Order: sequence, then structure tokens, then C-alpha cells
Amino acid sequence: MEFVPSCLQIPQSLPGPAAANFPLYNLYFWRRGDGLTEEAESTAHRTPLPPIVSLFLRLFGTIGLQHFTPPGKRHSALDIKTTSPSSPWVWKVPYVAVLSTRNAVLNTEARTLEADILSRRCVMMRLLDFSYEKYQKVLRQSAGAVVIILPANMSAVPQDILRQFMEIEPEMVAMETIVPVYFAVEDEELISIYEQTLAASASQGSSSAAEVLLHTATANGFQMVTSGAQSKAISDWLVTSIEGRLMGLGAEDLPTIVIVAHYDSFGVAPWLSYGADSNGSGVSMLLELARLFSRLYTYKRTHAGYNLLFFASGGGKFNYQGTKRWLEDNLDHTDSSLLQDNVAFVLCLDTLGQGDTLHLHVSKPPREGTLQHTFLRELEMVIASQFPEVKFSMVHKKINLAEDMLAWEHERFAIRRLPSFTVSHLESHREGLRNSIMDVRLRVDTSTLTRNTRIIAEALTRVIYNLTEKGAPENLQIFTEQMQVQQEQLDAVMQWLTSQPRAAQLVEKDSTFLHTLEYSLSRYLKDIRLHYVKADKRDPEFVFYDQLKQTVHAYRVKPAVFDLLLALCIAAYLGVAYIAVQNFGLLYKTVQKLSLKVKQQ
Amino acid sequence: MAFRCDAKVQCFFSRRSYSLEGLHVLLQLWLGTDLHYVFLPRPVIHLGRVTLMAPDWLRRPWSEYNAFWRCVQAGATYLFVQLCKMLFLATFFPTWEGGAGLYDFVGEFMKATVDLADLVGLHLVMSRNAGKGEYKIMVAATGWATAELVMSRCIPLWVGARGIEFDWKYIQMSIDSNISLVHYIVMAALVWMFTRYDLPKHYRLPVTFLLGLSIYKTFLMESFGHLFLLGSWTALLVKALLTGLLSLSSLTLFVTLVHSN
Repeated sequence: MEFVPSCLQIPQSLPGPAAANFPLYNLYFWRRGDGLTEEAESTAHRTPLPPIVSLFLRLFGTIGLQHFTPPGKRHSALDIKTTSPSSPWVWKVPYVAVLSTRNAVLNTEARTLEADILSRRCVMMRLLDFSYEKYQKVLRQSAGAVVIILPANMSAVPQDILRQFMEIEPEMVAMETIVPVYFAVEDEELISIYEQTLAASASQGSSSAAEVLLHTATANGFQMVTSGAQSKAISDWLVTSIEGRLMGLGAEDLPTIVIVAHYDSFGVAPWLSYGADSNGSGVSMLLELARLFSRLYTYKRTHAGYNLLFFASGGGKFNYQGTKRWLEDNLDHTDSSLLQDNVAFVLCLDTLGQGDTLHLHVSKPPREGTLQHTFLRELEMVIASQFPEVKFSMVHKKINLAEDMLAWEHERFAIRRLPSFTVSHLESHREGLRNSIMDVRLRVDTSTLTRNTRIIAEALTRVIYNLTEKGAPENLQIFTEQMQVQQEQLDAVMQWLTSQPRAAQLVEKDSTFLHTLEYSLSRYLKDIRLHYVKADKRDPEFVFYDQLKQTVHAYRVKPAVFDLLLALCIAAYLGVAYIAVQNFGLLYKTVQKLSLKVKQQ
Repeated sequence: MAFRCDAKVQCFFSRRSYSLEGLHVLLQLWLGTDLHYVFLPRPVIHLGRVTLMAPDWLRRPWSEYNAFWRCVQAGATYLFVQLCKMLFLATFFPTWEGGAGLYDFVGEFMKATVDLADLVGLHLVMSRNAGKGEYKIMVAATGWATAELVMSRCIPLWVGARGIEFDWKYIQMSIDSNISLVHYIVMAALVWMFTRYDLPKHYRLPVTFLLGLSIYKTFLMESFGHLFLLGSWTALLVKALLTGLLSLSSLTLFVTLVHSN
């Protein structure tokens, strides 16, 4: 029996984040990370492109038309909007995100960090050269814009650079800048633009006049132009969460185990945040657990006396808004719900796809005799007996209500006095990985994810069927052979999850992502319900802004000196042509003499 | 066109009378009527005087006997010939559906052969003009080349070079148009020589050879470009050299032919 739903049978060749099938030249623009930005002030648009003066130059009665512009004006351009595939200058950058509190309209010349003057320039930097000091320096020099070029292949980036970037990322989100910050995934064209800009920036100021002249004729500058509209707050954005259940066998008032994972991702650039480990791994584990327990619950002999409630929550990176609303709906507004009656414990899955550690985060250490404590003990036992390579520990952190953001998802439940904990391989909620655009598919090791799924499934089963008290051996393996955790399934789900950015601002109510998630949950679970959160009109807890992606046109430009030089060359050419025509008689006579000589011989 | 020169004109401002001149002459020429007594402001009369110094084709544009008009005629003939060629090509030549990277040598050769019509057209232009050989050649070639420039290069230049994008290809295109002017002069000269009834026998072969070369020049150039993957600047240089060679040899033939008798 195969349990892979058809919609999840994603081919292995499905384009990953680096090659996802997005329209060309969509560069993404994003506002501040918390989404709580004030209304952006309007910026004066720069003057539009100057009109081009063309001169007709008459030559021999034939008209030679030359393109000519007054010096100092924009001269030449590379329009990356051109979709002609034959054009060598099509910039095929699929993603760029902007980070700014202001209008992202931009019309500046490109420079790299090596240039002396950065003010009102568009500074391009690669991730490999990126550091917080450099970023600060650029902002201090009041650059026109910053373009951060991310490598297409994240696996080639050294670990320390990734870690450093992940540390800076929250700062970048939190920092208010007037400078728009773009993120672009590198490709050949962008690299070529970068290298030409680098050459131009590096050669500035330290070369002879002749070199400069030669350079103006050969090298290209780039004018970066965006035509983005003012970004506006999106009103009535719905954050969707999906709930499904497996009802236990037995009396009315069965205890309920809630399994929760938030599906959204977060990063400095929403269109680049794929959130593989956080929390793609949690969602795929949730789906796998749903599959396994649905199989157990179909047979009467294995139908346990516990209700299982599965919840894929939205808005998890925005203070667990989906969970918050779900709890309010269930606890405050309805008379009876599974959450109200008899909750054994709430198990939140968060960031589980990596490393040889597992941590159980609790806000209050479980007391002896509770099911919570049983689960903890079972978890310890399973790990100790079957997976000795895993280091397990319980991390106790009290809820800090003074802080704006809750640390873990279980705190939402703990506030409502529901016994809850979060399983994660992260030791602290402050880890940059949870909110980073660097959290791509590569960060999740499927075999680790499979092992972690197995650990949690085994521990849960031991609790549900009360196996320890029934005298089952410690190393009893339940999920083997037919019931085994399917690595291919987890891999396919991970592949599907990371094939699209899942930032909360991007997952629409009717998006295919949500439909697929709903469908795949409904294959295993019953009573699927969708819950929507909308921010309050008067006192919104979160505000999303549009204009998350923008097109940047890179125009090839030449300096004003080049115009002068070109005009001189054309004038010289015309002069030479004129002299040649005037003295054509000389040539004629020469040819005549020569031919006469030949004849006489 | 006869007009009277003794009519007096009174200037509107100065009350001084001028003899009929300037604009009046022009107006008479253009309208073909006599203007006897018209008040004209002084600046207008001055303008007329200045305009009288303008070249012949501007003063008498509708005369059949000036070079400008003949150039226009040559241009019209060019248009007609191109239309005929296009019709012929569209009727008898299937569109090439080979791979993008391949070059259809046979098809291009056949297309170049259709350019023989250009020679006929040039001959047509020259046979309708009376005058010395050089004059005929220059008029036909200039008209022909100008028409070609207007029809095939003006719009790309206007649209492309005026846009914000700078590209060397517009400079190249302009230089190329200069080269093609020389090319058409050479072609016209060769046609003129070829169609002379008193062309000596031993001239026939080289003139025919040069004619063939001038027709298949574009084809040769393109084949070269495809075979050796020339850059645009190199291709332009090769074209200039080839045209220069062609023109020098044609000049030699022309000079010996004209000065031999």
C-alpha cells in the first residue's frame, strides 16, 4: 500500500529554490520585517530620462545618421526588460527583494564597495564580501540603494559566512533604513554586470589620463532603474491555518493530543525565504505523523483511546497569529471543542531537519504523573534505547510576557494553560536559522528528519498505547517494515515545501500551496477545518505591505567624456572623408598615369 | 518659362521700389505666373534674394533637367525594383526552415542571384538620362544609395539610436552606409561600361567578373562571416577592404576605357 498522495509525488527534478520557475526580472521588494511599518513618506521622483538629441550628418550626399547626446546626459543603456532571448544583455535575475521604509523608486549608477564615493549610488555587494561593517558603511555614506547578490548555489558558500549573515539578518530587518536594499540571486548576466562595475569602481582615481580615456570607450557603467510603485499596506489579508483530526475509539471524553507545526517561513526577503528547516521540516513531519496514525486508527485493533488533533498553523513567524486565533475560537467562542475538554498535551514541531540533538522546550517542567511527563520519559527512553547518537535534553524557559514576540509556539498554548512543549533541534529560540533566507533545502538532511520523525512517532505511540506499563520492551520498534517512516515521502514533501517561498505575506487564501496542504491533510484526517485570521482594523497586530518584488533595469551607460570622444571621432572621420572626396582627382590622375604606362609598355 | 523682368515692386515699409527679384523670381518660377506689382515687406525681399543663391535643385525643384530630380527618379526606380524582387522572392523561394545555427548557402546564393535585378534597374535609370558617363553614373548611384538608406537604414537608426540604449552597431551601420554608397557607384560604373556598345572585346570578361563580384559581395561576406565567425567590426573592415578593392579595379577599367579613345 502506497500512501504517497498524488499531489505530493513531486519529481526529484522539480526546480529547487535556485531555479524555480518565476517570471523573468521579477525582483522582489519587501518592507520591514515585522510588518509593522508606518506609512511610507512619498519621495520625489527623479527627473525622467532626458530627451535625446539626434543630428543628421550629411556625407557625400548620403546621409549618415549618428546618435548624439549632449555631454553629461545619459547616453547609452542596457534595458534588461528586453525579453528577446538573443540579446546578450538580458538580465535574467529571478529574485530581488527590497528592504526599505521608503519608496523604492531608484535611478542611480551602480558601484561596488571598492569605489570611493558611494553616495546616491547603487552599491552592489556579493554575499561573500558581505559584512555588517560594510553594510553600515554603505548606509552611512547614504547610498542610493544596496543590491546584495546571493549565490545561486548555497552549498558553495562557506559556513561561517552563512552564519554571519544569519546573525545580521534580524538586524537588517529591524533597522530602519531610507536606502532600499535589494536581494538578487546571481546568474551569469548579473555576475557580468557586477564584474564590470567592479572593474569600473576599482580603476577609479588611480590611473593615468590615457587609461581613463581608454576605459571610457571600452568599459560600461550601469544605471539601475526601478519603476516600482509606492508600497501600500494590504488590508484584509487572511492568514490561513488548517486543522484536522483523528478521533479515538471509546467513550465521549477521551484525552486529546494536539500536534502543531506552523507552515510559514520568514526571512529578510519574503520571496527568497523558503524556510526548509524552519518550518518545512515540522510540516513534513506533521504530515508523516498524520499518515502513520491514520493507518493505525483505521484498524479496530490498533484504534487507540486518544483523539489526535493536527494543526498546521499560519502566521507562525508573526507571533503565532494563526494559533492564537485558533485558541480563541476554540476556547472562548465555542461551547465544546477538543481543546476545551481534556487535552493530554500539545506537541509543537519546530525545526527538526538537522543535527544530532533534540530539545524539548517547556515553559514549565512537567509534573510527575501527567501525560506530559510520560511523553518526556518515553522520548528519553526511545532515544536512549534505539537512537543513542542523539543528544536529548529538556530546555526550560519561562514565558516572558514583556517581550513582543513569543519564543516558541507552545507558549501560545501555555498562556491558555494547556500542557504543551516544542520539539526542536535548536537549543535556543534566538537561533538565526529560524528567520533566515539561508534556510534552504540544503539545510535539511532527510535522513535526520526521518530519524527524528521516527523518534517522535515511537514515543507518541508508547504514550498512546501505554506500552511501557503494558510491559513492552524498551527497544520495541513499532514503525518498521510496512509501517515504517517513509523517507521518500518526507523528501517529496520537503521538495514541495521548498519549491516556493512561504512567507506569510505570500501565502494567499486561495493559493495552490494551501490547497495542496489541505488536500494532503484531508487524505489522512477527518473533519478538516480552515481558520482565518485577519488583522484588526483599528489596532492591527500585523500589517503586510505589497510591492514585495520589483523589476530593476540595468542600463548600460557611458560617461559624458565618452560622448565628447565619440563626437571628436565622428568629426575626424567626416573631415577625412571630405578631404578624400575633394582630392579624388589625385587618385584619378594617378590611375590614369599608371594605366597609360602599362599601355605604352 | 518666361517672365518679365521690368516689373517694379514696392516695398511695404520703405516705399522704395525694387526691380523684380528675390522672392518674386522664385514665386514666378514656382507658380509659373507673372507678378507685376505686389507689396512685400523688406525682410521677405531679403529672404528672396538669399534664396536665389540657393542651389539649382532648390530653386527649380520641378524642372526635369536637374540632378536632384533625377536622383529622385533613381530612388523611385529603386523602390520599384525592390518591390519586384520581393514579389519574385516571395513567390518562388520557400522560407528557410533549417536550424537556427545553420546557414542556407544554396538559398542565400539564389537570393543573391535575384539581385541581378538591381543591375537592370541601374541600367534603366542611366538609360533614361542623357549626359556624360560620369554624370549618369553619379546620379544613378546617388539616387539608388539614398533610396536604399532611407528604406532600410533610416527607421532602425531613428528608432534605435534615438533610444536610451547605446550600441556600437549604429555607428557601424552609418559607416556601412558609406561603404554601400561607394559600392553602388562602382556598380553603376560597371553597368555603364557593360552596356556600352563600343566596349572593346577584351574588356568584356573583367567587367562581367567585377559585376558578378559586386552582386555576390553580400553573399560572400555573409558566408565568410558564418564560416569564420567574424566579429561585427572585423566584418565591417573586410567589407570595406573588399569594396575598396572592387572600386579600385573598376576605376582602373573606367579610366582606361574613357581615355583610350
